[in-house]
This record gives sequence, C-alpha cells and structure tokens, in this order.
Amino acid sequence: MSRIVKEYMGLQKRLQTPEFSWISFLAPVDDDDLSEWVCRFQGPSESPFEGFELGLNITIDLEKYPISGGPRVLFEPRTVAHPNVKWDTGEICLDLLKDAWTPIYTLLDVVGAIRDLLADPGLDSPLDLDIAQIYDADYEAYVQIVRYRLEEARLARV
Amino acid sequence: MTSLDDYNFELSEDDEYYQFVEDSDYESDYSSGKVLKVDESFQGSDDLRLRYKSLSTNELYDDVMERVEFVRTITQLSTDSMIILLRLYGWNEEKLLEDYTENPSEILEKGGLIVPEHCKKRDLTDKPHYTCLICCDSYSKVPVFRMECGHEACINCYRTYLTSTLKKPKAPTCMSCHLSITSSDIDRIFGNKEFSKKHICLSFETFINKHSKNYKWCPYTGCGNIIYSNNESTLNEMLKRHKIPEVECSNKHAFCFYCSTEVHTPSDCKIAQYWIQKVRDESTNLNWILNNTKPCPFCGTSIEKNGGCNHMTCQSCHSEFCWICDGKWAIHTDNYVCKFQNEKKDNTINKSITKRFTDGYKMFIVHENSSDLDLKLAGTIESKIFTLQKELGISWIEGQFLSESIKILLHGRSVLKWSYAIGVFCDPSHNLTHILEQNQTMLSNAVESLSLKIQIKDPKVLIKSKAEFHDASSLVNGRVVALEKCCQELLIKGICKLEAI
Repeated sequence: MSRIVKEYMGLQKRLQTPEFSWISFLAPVDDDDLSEWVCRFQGPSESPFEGFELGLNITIDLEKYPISGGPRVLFEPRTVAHPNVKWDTGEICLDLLKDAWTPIYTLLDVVGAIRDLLADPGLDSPLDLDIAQIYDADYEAYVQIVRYRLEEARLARV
Repeated sequence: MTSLDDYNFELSEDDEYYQFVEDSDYESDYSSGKVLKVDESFQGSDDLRLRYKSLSTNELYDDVMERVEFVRTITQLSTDSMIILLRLYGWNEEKLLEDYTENPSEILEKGGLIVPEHCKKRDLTDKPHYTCLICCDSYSKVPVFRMECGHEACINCYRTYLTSTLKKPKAPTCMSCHLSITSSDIDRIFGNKEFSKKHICLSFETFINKHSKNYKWCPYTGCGNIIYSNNESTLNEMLKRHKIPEVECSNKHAFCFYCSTEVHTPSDCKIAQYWIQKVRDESTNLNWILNNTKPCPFCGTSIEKNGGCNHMTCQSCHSEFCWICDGKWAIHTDNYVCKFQNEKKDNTINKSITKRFTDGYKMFIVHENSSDLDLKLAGTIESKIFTLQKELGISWIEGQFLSESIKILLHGRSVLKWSYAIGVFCDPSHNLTHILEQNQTMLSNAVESLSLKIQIKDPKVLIKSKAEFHDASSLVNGRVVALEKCCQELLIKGICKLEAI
C-alpha cells in the first residue's frame, strides 16, 4: 500500500522532467482511491501513432501491488489497432504486465514499456491476428488503418 | 477414428522421453535402486499383476530428493543448484544432463547460478534505519536480504514475494535480475525448512507430467496422492490382454493406472477412452437423458429419481411405472428388470449405429445416475448401522453386512455400466453378443433387487432380511464374474471392435 502512495507522491515531480514530457497525464481517478488510474500520452515518434494522444486505464490491486502482481492496464477500447492489443477491449499483451513482472518496476516503467510496444510490436505472440498479418504483409496499409482508427476515435471524443 | 489395428498402447506423448529412459544406463540403475521397494499389490484375476506403490507428496519429495542427489553426483554441483536446474528443465534429467555436458556455463547462466565475482556474499542482516526500495516502508531496524548482485529488499517484501512465486514452475529469482534464489536462501528468509519444501512440492506437477509413464496423480478430487509404478512390461502385457491396470492410492481410491479414470472393468482402456471421448462429443445431443427428472407417464407430474431402483411410484397419481421404458410397472413381473427395453432391441436387429450408441449411452447413464444415488445411500449406511446398534442391540460387526452389500452393489453397477460401453461396439448379429445382453439383464436384475433391499428403512425389517442381503450380494458377485468373463471373451475374440461404430 505504502509503495503506491510513495509512487504517487513522487510522480508529479518526475512528470515535469524532460524524460517524461511525452506523458500528458497520469493520476488516479479519485485521490482517495489509488486503485484506479488514468493515463494519457503522446504516441511514439517515427511510428504510426505519432501525433496522436492515447489513453490508458490502469487498475491496481492494492493488496498485491507491487510484490505479488503488477497493474492491469488497458487501452481505451476500440481506439488502438495494434498486433498486441485486443481491439474490442483494449487488452495489452506485454510480458512485463504478465510473467515478467517484478516488484522493481513502477507505473512509469509500465507506461514506458507500453509506449515502446506501440513502436515495436511483438509479432511472435499477436493478440490481433488480422492486424499482425497486415503489419507483416503491407506495412503502409497497417499505418493507414492505425491512423484511420485513431482519427475516428479522436473525432468521437470531440 | 481409431481402429483396432493400431491398437498399441504406447503413450504418444512422452514417447521420445520413454525411448531415452530405456537407453540410459543410470535410469535403470536408479530404477533398480532402493526406491523400488514396491508393494506386492495383487491385481487382476490371472497371473498378471501390476506392481506399484502409493506415495503422498511428502514421500514423493523424499524420492525426488534422492533423484536429485543421484544426478548431482554426475554434475558435481550443489544440491541447491541442482534443484534449480532441474526445475528449469521441468525435471527432465536426461535433457538437462545432455545440455549440461555440452555447455555447462550456458546452463548455469540460464539457471541464474553464475554469481558475479568479487562481490559481497548474499546475506541476511539486520539493518538500522532502513527504507526498503520495494515497499517504500521505513524501518528503525529490519532484516534485509541482499544478493551478490547488490539488489536487496526487506525480509517482509521477500516473504511476500516468495509466497507469490510459489506456483511458478521455475525457481524464484532476485526481484531485479536473473540471479536464482536457492532453497537454502528461502529457508533462511522464512526461518524454517517448510517453505522451500513447499516450493519444490508445488513444482511436482511438472515432474509428474514429465514422468507420466511411471507416476500418476490420483484422479479423485482433492486427493493429491501419487501412484508410482515402473512395471511397464506388465502394464503393456495387461493392456494387450484387455485387462485393466487397477491401482488404489493410500486413501483407498481405486482407478485405472493407464487412463487415470475410474475403474472401467470390464471395458478395456481403448474402449473406455473411446467411449469417454464419444460421450463427451455426443452428450450435448443426448443431454436430455442426463436430466434426472421425467414427467410421470400417466399424469405428467415431474418426478425425480431419488433411489437406486427403477420401480417408480408417482406421488401425485400413485401410478407405478418403470424408469427405463415408461411402461406400467405391473407388467414387469420378472424381478425388477425391464424386459421391454430388450424387446425393443430384438425387434430392430439392423439398428443404425447412432441408435445403438444412444441406447447404450442411455443405459450407461441410467446406471451411472443410479450408482450416484447409491453412493449417497452409502453415506447413510453408517447411521443405519448405528440405529441397529442402538435400537436392537446389534453389534457393530454384525451390522457390517450393510457396508459389504453397498460395496458389492456399487461394484456391480460399475461393471454393468461399463459393459454397455462394450455392448455398443459388439457385432450385434454374433451369438456372444446375445449372451452378453442376457448377462447384462441378469446382473441388472441382481443389482436392482439388492439396491431395493438396501433402501429398506425399518431397522427390524433390515436385520430380519440379513440372510436375503447375503444371498442378493453373492448373486451380484456371481453375475459380475460371469459378465466380466463374457466381456473378456468378446474383446479377445475381436467381436467387440471399435470400427463397428
């Protein structure tokens, strides 16, 4: 419990540093409940996600975090077309969130790893087979789909 | 679909491993070693018996540790390192030794056993005014575990961490890098030896899967016992002769060692497995049979079968009918057996395969449900015996005929049930198939009448009919033997074939 409080306390200061300038927002939904978090960040440059803002919903099991389990992280559903993301739910397939989790990681590490995944998909274990195939066969088409979907989501938000 | 031609009993999974075991010298050395003080458990009727022993997880732990020691003498590593490597390899000793001889340092690296040189040794020391990097709690004084890599955390974090890694097959590692935490480290952190043992025991799942030829979990829910047998030649011979390698764990749970399912006498393993698969596939279509309630054929009231016998009496209109054929009970003169089911069978010799399966399945399910109900009845037997003792002053020993009877009843039902699986695959025109059906009828007869007796509630009537119990039980026993013999013959003569369906 104490660990997430410490992370929260140090977070705003760290978000000011240039290292994390790409994160526009990372905070709990409700200051009194540290189990539900929201994050918004800029898509990585030199990737189809460049120029778009992406949203994450983060759930933390306060009993388990950080020793027995990491956070549960989902993209906003139906926004991100990506080989390792389930379109309908926003579920992310990332080893860090599953088996490879160790208590040494923090929320910032997790968000960073997800951003890296966007730029560099893991094609050996895709969640969305169709997108993975398009990525493999016709990268340009993949870029178009990703950007079309993001644009669609952005318009829906306005 | 499988035919009897490929009727060989090699386990398809683990085949490779099995081959390897046969070739490797040390395995056979090991097998003939002291671990093999196997009980002389008799099994089957003829001369064939499967030697096996029942182990608890603790006993298996001792066995496995002996195994670890043995492999250790080859690699010259510490016991701790050996356990870590074996867990990394899912307890596949051959593969580990092969890889290890080829490239020891690579394997040690993989196992997280290469400790950085010139570093402070790992230790567990009390530190004053310490803030743990993992939980961010500040302590005035706390034991801190530190690895050679310099990564450290307070003892509370380590305890929680090690508890949460309990279920993973691999040995736990440092929270920040790949350096392995050994069993002795775990012992130090928890201050006792129980925990590291638990860690290892939980990884036995993979151990048993890897050695599934010789080790089998008891399939009963929550049992956790393990049967060990290295008597492979006998096993294969038994399977060839259509015998069931029946084993019993120390909790008295009997099961088939080959299939890891309930004892399916008189069906052999091939038919039983095919049957189970088939039933699983088809049961969605036939689910209505599974339904325990039926409308009364006379007034339509829903009736639940709550006793083992097929003689139903509707509580609403008081009409009596037969559970199997829905006909009036009055025409069932022949000692509680439904002849009309069989009559239907006789009329349609050229029954379609599906029909044959459906009929067989129906009978199978009827007896399975009845046997479940009998099992419930068995639960009440002890209290019945107690009533006998209390009300009539009968001694406990004297009351035991009830427990005996229920055991015989359950066995009879199981044999009857599985004989229907055989019946489905038999050539329907063959004379022996008719004999099988007659035998089934006779056993069914005997079983139903015994079941009816066991349902008697009045203690006075119970004790009076003790002799009848005895007669009915021995009748069931006799019928069981006859039916088993008949099935055996059908299997050996090849009249019962899987391609028949």
